Amino acid sequence: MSITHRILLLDDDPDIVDTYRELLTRLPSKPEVRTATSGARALARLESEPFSLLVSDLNMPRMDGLQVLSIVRRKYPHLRIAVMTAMAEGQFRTRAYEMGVDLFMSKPSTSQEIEQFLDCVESLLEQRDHGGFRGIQTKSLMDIIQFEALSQSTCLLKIQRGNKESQIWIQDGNIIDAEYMDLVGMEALLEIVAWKTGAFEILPYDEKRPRRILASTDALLLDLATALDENESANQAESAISEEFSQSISRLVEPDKGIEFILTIAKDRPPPAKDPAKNQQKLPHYDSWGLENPEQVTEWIWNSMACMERLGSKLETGVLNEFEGIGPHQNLSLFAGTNAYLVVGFDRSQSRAQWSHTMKKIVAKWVS
Amino acid sequence: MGILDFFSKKAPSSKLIPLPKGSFTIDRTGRVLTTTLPRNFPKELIEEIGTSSLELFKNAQKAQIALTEYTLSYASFKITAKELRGGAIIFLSPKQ
Repeated sequence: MSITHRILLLDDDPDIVDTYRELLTRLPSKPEVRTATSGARALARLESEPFSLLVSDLNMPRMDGLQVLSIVRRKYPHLRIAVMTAMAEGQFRTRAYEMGVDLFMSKPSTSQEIEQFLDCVESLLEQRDHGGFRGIQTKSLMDIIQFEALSQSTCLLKIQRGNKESQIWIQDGNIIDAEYMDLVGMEALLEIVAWKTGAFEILPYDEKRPRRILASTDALLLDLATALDENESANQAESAISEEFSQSISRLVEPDKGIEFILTIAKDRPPPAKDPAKNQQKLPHYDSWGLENPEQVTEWIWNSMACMERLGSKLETGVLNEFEGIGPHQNLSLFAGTNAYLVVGFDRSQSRAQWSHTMKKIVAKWVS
Repeated sequence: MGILDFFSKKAPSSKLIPLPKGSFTIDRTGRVLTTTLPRNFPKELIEEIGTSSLELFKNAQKAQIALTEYTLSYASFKITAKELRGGAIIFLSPKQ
């Protein structure tokens, strides 16, 4: 059964986002492409649905690409990451690879480069299908260890996954020790073999290594396989739970409808507290998803809606129900509830009719 | 009859303004340039709608929400404003 891959494209330039979305949707694997024009939006999108690949720019205002990558790598270690940037200087390449990106490319400018970029992305998506380690894409780490054990080799297996590094010592086909962060021996080995993706190097080693793992290789491989199975079952249960939205506002997100952000704001603006300590204790008057600057936008909504409501009462127009804004980068829709405003930002890929329809659905969910 | 005249005098009623239909343009300072609104619609209200719209666009920009057009829907009235080089064209229409 073929898997539908989902790619998240992050770039602050909406024109580039549109162009690459167009190109990526034409890949042979027919991935679904979602977009984000800021780091915060990208992180919110990653929280709300699973992705196979993140394609990110580096040079962005507010939260730069490297900041986004470090958060993403920590939170989503299995996610493949490709960096596509105009900042092709060596130092950025090194820093990005140190953070565990899978691909670093200059923004393509010729048709050949575009083709090359698309081939690389397609290849990354295929790797995701098979899992495995760089170099031997279709083999698991267990397969690699087994191979080294069977060939009676003496080597140091150095494994890297993101910014994590671990080592396994094999002597004459026997696994004698492992090290990962503070863990050593069997404890470290169990942690390491649970990794599904990464890069490895097989190095010779000369220095005497004390043997901390005493079990025979066959028994050890059997134990590891059992531990892996148990780990897999636990992971499946965990991922089922994490698929449920953790925050109530995320439940309003309609996937694939070009939603950039959602903001709910209490209509009553809190009075400024005389005591700053009390100000810190007060409950937040808004809840946001995908917005980098919810405080600023909340302030704008409060000020603008208060002004327009005053105008409405002078003109005797009745209550203010809705507000729709159209912009060069995004559109937004506001619904005025009894006690709160619901504000939703949409990207430019959606026509007015489409986002109005989506807004109605979101309002129905929110009101219910 | 003097005292009766006093009681029969009608208190000045508040002037009911019919909701206008039409459009007007304003420059970046909020000055009304052209209008198709009825003459009896108070100028002060036209100016207030205009300056509120300009403020809304300006403050949206500050909140990093760039807008070039907006529509406000009240229960019985609709205001649509489109930004024009710092100024705006504003359409007013009562809901039927």
